[in-house]
Amino acid sequence: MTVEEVKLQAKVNGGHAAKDQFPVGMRVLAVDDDPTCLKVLENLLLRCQYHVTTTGQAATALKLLREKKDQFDLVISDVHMPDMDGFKLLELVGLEMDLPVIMLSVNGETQTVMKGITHGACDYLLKPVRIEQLRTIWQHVVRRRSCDAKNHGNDNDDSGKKLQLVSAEGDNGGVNRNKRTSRKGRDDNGDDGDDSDENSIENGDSSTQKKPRVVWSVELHRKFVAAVNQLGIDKAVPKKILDLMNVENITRENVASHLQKYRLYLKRLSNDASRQANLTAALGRNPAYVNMGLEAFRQYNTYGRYRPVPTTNHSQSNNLLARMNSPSAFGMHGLLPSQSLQIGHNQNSLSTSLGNVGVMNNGNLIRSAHMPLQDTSKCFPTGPSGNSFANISNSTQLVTTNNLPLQSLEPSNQQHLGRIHSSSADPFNSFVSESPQFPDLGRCNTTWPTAVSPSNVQELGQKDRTVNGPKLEPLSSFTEANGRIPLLGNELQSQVASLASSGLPMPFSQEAVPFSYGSGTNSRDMLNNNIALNNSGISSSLPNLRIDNSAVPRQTLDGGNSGGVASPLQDGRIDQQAVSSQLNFNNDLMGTSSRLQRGLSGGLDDIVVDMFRPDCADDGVPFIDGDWELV
Amino acid sequence: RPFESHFALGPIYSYTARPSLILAQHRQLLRQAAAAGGRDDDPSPPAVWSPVSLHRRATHSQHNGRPPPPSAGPPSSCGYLDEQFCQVEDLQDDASPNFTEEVVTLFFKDSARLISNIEQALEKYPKDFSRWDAYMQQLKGSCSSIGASRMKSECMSFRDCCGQGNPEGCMRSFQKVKREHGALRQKLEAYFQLVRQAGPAGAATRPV
Repeated sequence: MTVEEVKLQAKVNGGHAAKDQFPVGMRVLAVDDDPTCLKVLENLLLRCQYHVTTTGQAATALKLLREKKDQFDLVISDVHMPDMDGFKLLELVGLEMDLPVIMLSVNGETQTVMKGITHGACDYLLKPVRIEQLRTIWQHVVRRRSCDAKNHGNDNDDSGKKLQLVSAEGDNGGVNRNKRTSRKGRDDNGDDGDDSDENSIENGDSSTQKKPRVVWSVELHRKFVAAVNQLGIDKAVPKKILDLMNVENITRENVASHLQKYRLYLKRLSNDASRQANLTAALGRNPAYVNMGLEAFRQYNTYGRYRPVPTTNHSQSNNLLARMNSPSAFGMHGLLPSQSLQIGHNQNSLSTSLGNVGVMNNGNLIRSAHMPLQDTSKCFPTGPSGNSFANISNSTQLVTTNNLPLQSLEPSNQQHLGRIHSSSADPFNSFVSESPQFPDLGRCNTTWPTAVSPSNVQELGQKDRTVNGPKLEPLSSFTEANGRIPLLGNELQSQVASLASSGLPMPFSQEAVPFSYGSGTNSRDMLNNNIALNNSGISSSLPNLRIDNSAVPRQTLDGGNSGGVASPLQDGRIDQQAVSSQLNFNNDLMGTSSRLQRGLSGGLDDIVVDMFRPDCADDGVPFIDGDWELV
Repeated sequence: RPFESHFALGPIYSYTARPSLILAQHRQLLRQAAAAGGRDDDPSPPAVWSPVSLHRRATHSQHNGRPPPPSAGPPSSCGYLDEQFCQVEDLQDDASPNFTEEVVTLFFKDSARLISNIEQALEKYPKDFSRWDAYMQQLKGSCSSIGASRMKSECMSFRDCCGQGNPEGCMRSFQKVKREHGALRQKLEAYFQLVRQAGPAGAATRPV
C-alpha cells in the first residue's frame, strides 16, 4: 500500500480503523497558531500514518473535542497561542475529555516544560519536531488505556451495579471502568450506539474510549446539580441523575460517588447553617443548604477539581434547597455572601425570607456564602444574620426572580445578590451597598454550578481549589469572575485577594465589591461596613467574613456570626486546603479563616492583615487532579 | 557520491546547464556546509568547488557569508537551512508534490506578518521586552519549522537582548533578522526555480 493509500484509508476509516491497526490511523488533533508549523506537523503526522485534524485556534480545538468526544485519541498543542494559553487548553482537555495531550513549543526552558508536565501533559516536544519523535507518540494513548485496564481489570463484563462499588474518585481506572460499564448500561437504553462497540473492546484495545478519570468540571457539576435538583435531593439516584445529565463518558458510578460527595457537602452546609442562631432568628429559614450548596459549589469551582464537599445533611439539603429556591431566601443569600456564612448557617434564620429566595437560590447563596471564597468568588455564606443579606442584596440583582438564577453564575451574578436581597428583605437593602459582586449567590439558587463560565471557572477553579471543593457551584459563578457569589466573602476575598496577591486573577476581585464594602475597598473596609450594617449579630460574623473572604467564608461565619456558618467554612477551607492552592492567597485566606475559627481572636486587624499577606503566588501549583479530594 | 562527481565537472554558471546538478548542489549549499571548518571566508570545500562560490554564482546572492555548518552555532556560522528543511522536503511525495514550496510560501507569508508585528511593537511599545520577546518567539517557532537556521539564530539573539533589557541590541538584532529573512527568501526563490527547471530529475537528485 502506498503512503497515500494508507493515508486515505486512515482518513476514511476514522475512528474504527484506529482500533484495528493501531497505531496506524490513530486520530490526532493538532493545534497550533503558527500555520507553517501546523502544516509541517500535519504532514509529519500523516507520514506516520495517523489520522490528523488540524486547527489554528484553541477554541476551535475545544469545540471539536467537545462535539465529538470520542473522535480523537491524542491532542498535540502548541504552548503559545493567541486565543488561549496552551496550558489552559491542556487542563481543559484533561478535565473534560481526559485525552493525552502533548505540548509543543519552541521554548524548551525547564520551567516551561515543568509547567507543562505539572499541568498534565503527557509529553513535551520541542520545535522543530522530528518525525522520529512523532512515530512513538502513540505510546501515550496505549499507556492510558493500559493503566485503566490495569486498574480495573476486565471490567467489560461488569455490570453497572458492580461498578458502583468502585469509587471513581481518585481512581483513574475506576472511573474509566465505570464509564465503560456505564456505557454498557446505557447501551441497553439504546442511548449510545457506540457503546457496545466500545464496551466490547478490551482494556488494552486501542480504542480511545477509555478515559481514566471523570473530571467534574464546572459545567458538568452544574448539570449534575441541575439534575439533582430536578429530581429532588432525596430522590436523586445516580441512575436518574445520569440520565438527566445526558453526558457521555460518565458512568453511574461516577455520578454515585459525586453524589455522595455532594450530599456530604450539603450536610455540612446544613450543619453550619443550623449553627447560625442569628440567622435563624433573623431569617427563620434554614440556610444550611445554602451553605452546603455554597461549599459544594466552591469546591466544584476549581476547575474541574472538586474537593468533594462532604455532604452533611442530605435531608437538610433537600429542605434547604427547597427553601433556597424561594426567592426571598435568595435575597438573603445575597447578603450572605457578604455577610458570609451566617446566613448560610442560619438555616433557621434563613427562614422564609432567605429561604424563599428561590429555594435553590438560597441554597446556592448560602452555599456560596459558606463556601469559602475560594478565591475570589467565594461567597461567604453570610454568617451575620440578615443584615448581611441586606448587604448583599442591595446591589446584586439576585432577586431578579424569586428564584435566584444561580444557574448562571455569570460574573454578573454579583448583581444577583443585590437583587436577591432586595426581593427578600427590604431592610436589607439598605445594607447592601454594593454587593454587586454577589450575584453569584443568587445564582446559586437554582443550581450549583450555575453558569459558571468555564473560563472563569477555570481561573477560579484554581483558586478555588484551595478553597473549597465541591461546593463550587455557586462558586463557579465566582470563578466566573467576579465572584458572583454574593457572599461577602467573595468580595472580600476577591478584594483581599486582589490586595493580597496581585497574582490572583480573580476577576472577581475586581468587581467583587462586597456589598458591605464599597467598591474596591479592602476587606477591612468591608468588614467595617459590614459591621456597621449589620445590626444583628453580623458584626461578629464580619470578622469572620473577612477572614473568610480570603479563605473560607464559612469560617468567618463560624467564628463570628452565629457560629453556624463556621463549619462550612471550615470544611470549605479544609477542602480548599486540600486543593493545591493555586493561589497562595487562598492559602493565606485559609490561614486567616482558621484563625477566625479559633474564635476570631486577634480581632479584625489580625485577620485582615493576615488576609493581606502577600500571596506567594504559586502559578505553578498544579491543579489537584484527582478531583475528589476532601481535604 | 553524485555531488562530488558533479563538483568535478567545473563551475556551473548558468541555470540552464544541468539544472538537476545545480539543484543538487544548491541544496547542498543551502544546507549547512557540513564539511566546512566553519571559518567564514574559507570553508573547506569537500570538493573542487567552493560551495560558497558556487552558491553565489548560482544564485547571484549577495550574501557575504558562506554556508557554514550546523545551525547550532552563532549566526555567522549557520547554514541558511538545516536538517529540518530536509525533513520538510522528505514529506513531499506523490500525494503532495509541491509540499516544500507550499510550506515555504506559507512561511514567508506568515513570517512577513510576524516581522511587521514586531516592527510595530518596537515602535509602539518601547522597551516592552516581554511583548517583543513573545512576538519574536513566534517568529522563531516558524523559522525552526522549516529549518531556517540563520534566521532562527538571529531571533535567538534578539530574545537574548530582550532578556538583557537592551533595546539597542534588540533593534540591531531585529535588523539582522530582517536581513536574514530577505536573504533566505531570495535563496529559496532561486532554489525553487531550479527545482522547477530540473523537473523530475531534480527531484531525483534530492539528497537522502
